Order: sequence, then structure tokens, then C-alpha cells
Amino acid sequence: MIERVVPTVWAGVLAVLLLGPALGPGFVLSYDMVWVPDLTLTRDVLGLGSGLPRAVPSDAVVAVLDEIVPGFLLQKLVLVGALVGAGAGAAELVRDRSLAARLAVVSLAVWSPYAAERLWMGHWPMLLAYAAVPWLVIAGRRRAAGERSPVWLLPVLIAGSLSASAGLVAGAVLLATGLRRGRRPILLVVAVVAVNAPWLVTGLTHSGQAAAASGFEVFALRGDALPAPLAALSLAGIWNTSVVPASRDGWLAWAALAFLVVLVVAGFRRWWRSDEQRVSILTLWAAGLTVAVAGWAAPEALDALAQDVPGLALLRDSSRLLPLCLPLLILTVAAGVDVVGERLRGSAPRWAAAIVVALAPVALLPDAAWGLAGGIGTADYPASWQQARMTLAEERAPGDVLVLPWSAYRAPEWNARRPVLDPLPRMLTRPSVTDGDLVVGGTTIPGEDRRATSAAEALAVPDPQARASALRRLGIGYVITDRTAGEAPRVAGKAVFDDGGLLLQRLPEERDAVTGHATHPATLVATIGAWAAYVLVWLVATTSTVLLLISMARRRTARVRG
Amino acid sequence: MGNIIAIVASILVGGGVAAATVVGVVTSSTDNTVKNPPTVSESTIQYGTSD
Repeated sequence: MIERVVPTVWAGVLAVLLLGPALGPGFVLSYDMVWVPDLTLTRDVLGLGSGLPRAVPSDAVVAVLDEIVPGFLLQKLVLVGALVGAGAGAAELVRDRSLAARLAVVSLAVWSPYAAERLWMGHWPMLLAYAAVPWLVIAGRRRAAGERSPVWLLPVLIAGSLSASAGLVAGAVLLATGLRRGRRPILLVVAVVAVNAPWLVTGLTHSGQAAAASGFEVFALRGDALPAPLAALSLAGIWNTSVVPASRDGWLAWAALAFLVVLVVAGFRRWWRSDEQRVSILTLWAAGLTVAVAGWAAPEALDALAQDVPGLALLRDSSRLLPLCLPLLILTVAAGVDVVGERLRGSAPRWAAAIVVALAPVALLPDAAWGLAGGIGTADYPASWQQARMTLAEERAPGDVLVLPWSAYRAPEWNARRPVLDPLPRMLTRPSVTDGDLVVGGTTIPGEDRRATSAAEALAVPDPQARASALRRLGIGYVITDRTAGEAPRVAGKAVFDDGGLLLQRLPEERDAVTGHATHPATLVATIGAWAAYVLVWLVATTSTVLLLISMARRRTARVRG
Repeated sequence: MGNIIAIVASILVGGGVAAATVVGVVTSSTDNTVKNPPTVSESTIQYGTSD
């Protein structure tokens, strides 16, 4: 028991040190991380909106779970759980190694550039996938060895597959380690397909928009102090230089790579000889690195290819799939720590070595500490946002909501001006239309939502009355404007809420107005089927978790009585 | 003699890394270098930078 407790406690300490102020009251709002007090299960959330379903199924899961656990608390559980889960999973994966080796891989997994950069970028489903990776390797190995699958397999697979990229990572890891000749693959494949069904189906039904997605060059793997391929070796290299800790731009990045390479080289031989799944683990590492480097090496070719190959645009943020490299790093580093430890004589040098390998990842990325040195923190939504939401919920006129100013990202004063994807659409109780264009370093990557393009054209009309008429014809019934977020075009309509900051308007009735975004019946049927499969997996996972808890409680009672 | 040198060296190395970690973490956290957009009057906030 103590064998598991010490690494898990260490992972907890590192998680708290890394998150710091992000654990305070309020919501962590950073780039793509948008959590609201009560997310409504709208058409957009289910992937039936006009925009590319980027937050499927994560938003739907949050919309359901925040009915049970408050949104801000759920977010903290997710962030802490992802980091502690990654550390505890890494230690469990190398359970037969020394305590020093297990503590070293806990630090390596929790305090990695990948975890820090994706946390800052707000890619929490990817953090959960990252945390799930070592556990899925363990589950896959047990299955390949002919043992029963652990009862936690489905919950971990679900948690690790909350977005398209996350689902790719989790599915690839489980299938690569769990599929073996002579073992019936059907159950494993069905489980992987079912947990990924919502984004697979809604992605296919939006394949026209997906093909229009571009920007491989902008979102490609990017070097920091290290050239891009070397940065990828140390699980770094996110495209957005604004979320890279400053220490990655100096000699510490080189030192971190050297530390990692020394331990990997020291342990590689021992790991290779002892691991029956070495080919699968090495293949996963090669796949993760190849995808990351391909985006950096040939972005234009991939951009062109993405127009013809559906789903290829999923890989445009090419370093996102780097968690595939994690199992090899954990296994070889743990072996390396043991090899180095065995060469040291006496307990004092071994203790010193244990301290060095456990603390080195922290010392080499010190500014990941305490909310990424201020990069992330918490904020409370202004009271007026909740009032506007309630006003809209009581409105009876048909139509969706257009969100202004016409831009995707905000830097609100109440969020310490930290950039974040506009939270207003998630705050509202109706489907919304927003600007999908992304501005990166002065380059604009056009959004894929054709309805948003039509809305932009409607807003370009010079007269506010004509704008309102054009918007009504697109199925827009309301316009909400955040005046604190900058200039926005005026639209004619009756103000139903106005506190000086937020303005909610009901657009005038139009004879040829439509009432919202129409969904093709075939799309609707396919999407319902995908969600039904997903809900079924959830039910099985929930049942197995409850049974596990009951059996644990019974065992404990029996032990106490015995 | 060799043992004493090993113990002293171990304390120096282990203690040095531990001290460097604490100093690095505290310095980074107190010297906040994060630059958020200086103004919100411009409605187009960048999704990120790639320079």
C-alpha cells in the first residue's frame, strides 16, 4: 500500500505547487479553457450546431456533470485529477522499479513542458488524455497477458477521450498495447469506437467545414531554446509562444533535454530486455514524434493534403499528440534511474541521486510553479452575465444568439486581461453564432463555420436595421454585445437587458425569417446513434465503478472483522 | 575516508539541487514576467503568437 501512497502523495504535492492560485475560488479561464457556472446542453454542445464541433464530447459531459458538482469545483477536480493521475499512473506503470525511480517518473510526468503548456493553453481534455496514457498501457498489458481487464479501464478510457485528439491518443495507446494475437479484439475495439463516436460522427457530418480548416504552418511544432524536433523529444514545442514558460527559452531547456537523454540512454537496454511490449511502446513513441515533426517539416504539403483527406486537419496542432511518447520515456527513465542507482555505493549517494532525479524536472522548469508564474489564475464572472443569461432564458422569441464584438477571443479586465475564448456563448441558454477566425501573430486563420461567414457579411451592411433583417434571415433572434470587449457594429433591436456592459437585444420580427439552424434528418439520426452508444458506455463504466467501490468496501469490512 | 567524501559530496549535490529548485520556483513565481494584452479596447485579441 505504502508503495503506491508515496508516489501519489508526491504527485499531489507537485500538482498543488504547479496549479497554485488556480486552486483558489473562481474559474480558471485561459485561452481554450472556458468553464461556466452552468453549461446548458444546447445543440452546439451536442455537435449539431453550424460550427465545427471542437468541444465534443467534453462540453456535453461537463453540461451533465455540472448539474451534480458545481462548475468551478468540477474544473478543479479535473485539473488536479489530471496531474495527480498522470503522476500516479507513471509510478504504477513502473511498479517493479525502486522508489527513487518511481518518484523520478512522477516528477517527469507531472512537471513536464507538455503538462505546463497545455494547461496554460487550456487544453484540459488533452491533459486528461495525457494522464490516462500510463493507465491505459497498464490495462492494455493486462489484457494482452490474458488477464481480466481492470474495472477502471472504461472510466479511464472515457476520461481520456473527451476530444478528438484526446480520443486518438487514448485509443491508439490502448489498442497498441491491448491487441494481441489469440485475444479477441472485438470488445476493446467496440469500447474505443463507442467512446469516440460523438466526435467521429459529428466530425463526419461537418466534414465540409473540416476540409476548409487550414493553418498547419501556424499550429505546427515550434522550437523554444531547442530546435523544434529536439523540443518534441522533451515533450515541449507548442505552437503558441505566449504559453511557453520563460525558462524554456534559455539554457535550462538544453539541461532538461540532457537530463532526459542521459536517463533514457542509461535505461534503454535494461528496459528493452525486460519488456515484452517493447515494439508497441517504441511504435507509439515514433508515431507521436513523427506526427509532431511532420507538422513542422511539411506544413504546406499537409495543408494541401487536408483539403482532400477528411480529418487530417485534426493533426494541425501537431505537438498535441506527444503524449504517445510518454510510455517510452517513463519506462526508460525509470530503468535508467535504477541503473545509475546500482552503480552508486552507499546509502548517502543513493539518497542524493534520488533527490536529484525527483527534483530535477522541477529545477529545470521552475516557472511552471504557482500557476505557471502567474500565467493562470482564477476569476469570477460579473453578476450581469448571470442576469443576462436568466433574461435570455425567459425570452420566448425564436432564433439563436449572435455574440458581439465580432471576434473569438477576449481579454477581460475581470480575468486579469488573460486571453480566453469568449465565455459568453457557453454562458447562454441558446445556440450561438460567433466569429471563428483566429488571429495568430498577425495572421488570420479563417473559421470554418459558413453560418458565421454569412453573419459577418450581414454585419458588414452599413445600416443597423438592414443588419438586423439580414441576421433574422440567418435564424438569429437575439444579439448580445459585450461593450467592455471593444468596438462592435450596431444592430437594430429591442434591448431586453442592458447594464452598460452587456447589451442583449431581441431582433425585430421579419416575414422571411428562419427560426434557427436546420439539421438534416440523416445527420440527426447519426448523431443520436453516436450519443446513444456513448451513453451506453457511460452506463457500463458507472456500473463497474460502483461495483468496484462496493467490493472494496466489503473487503475492508471483512479485513476489519477478521 | 572515501565514504566521508561520498557522503559530503552527496549532501552537496542533493542539497544543491534541492536549494536550486526552491530558489528557482520562488524566484519564478514572484518575478511575474507574463505579459497580458495591454488594452482591451481593441476587439481582436490574438489567439496566440508564433514568433
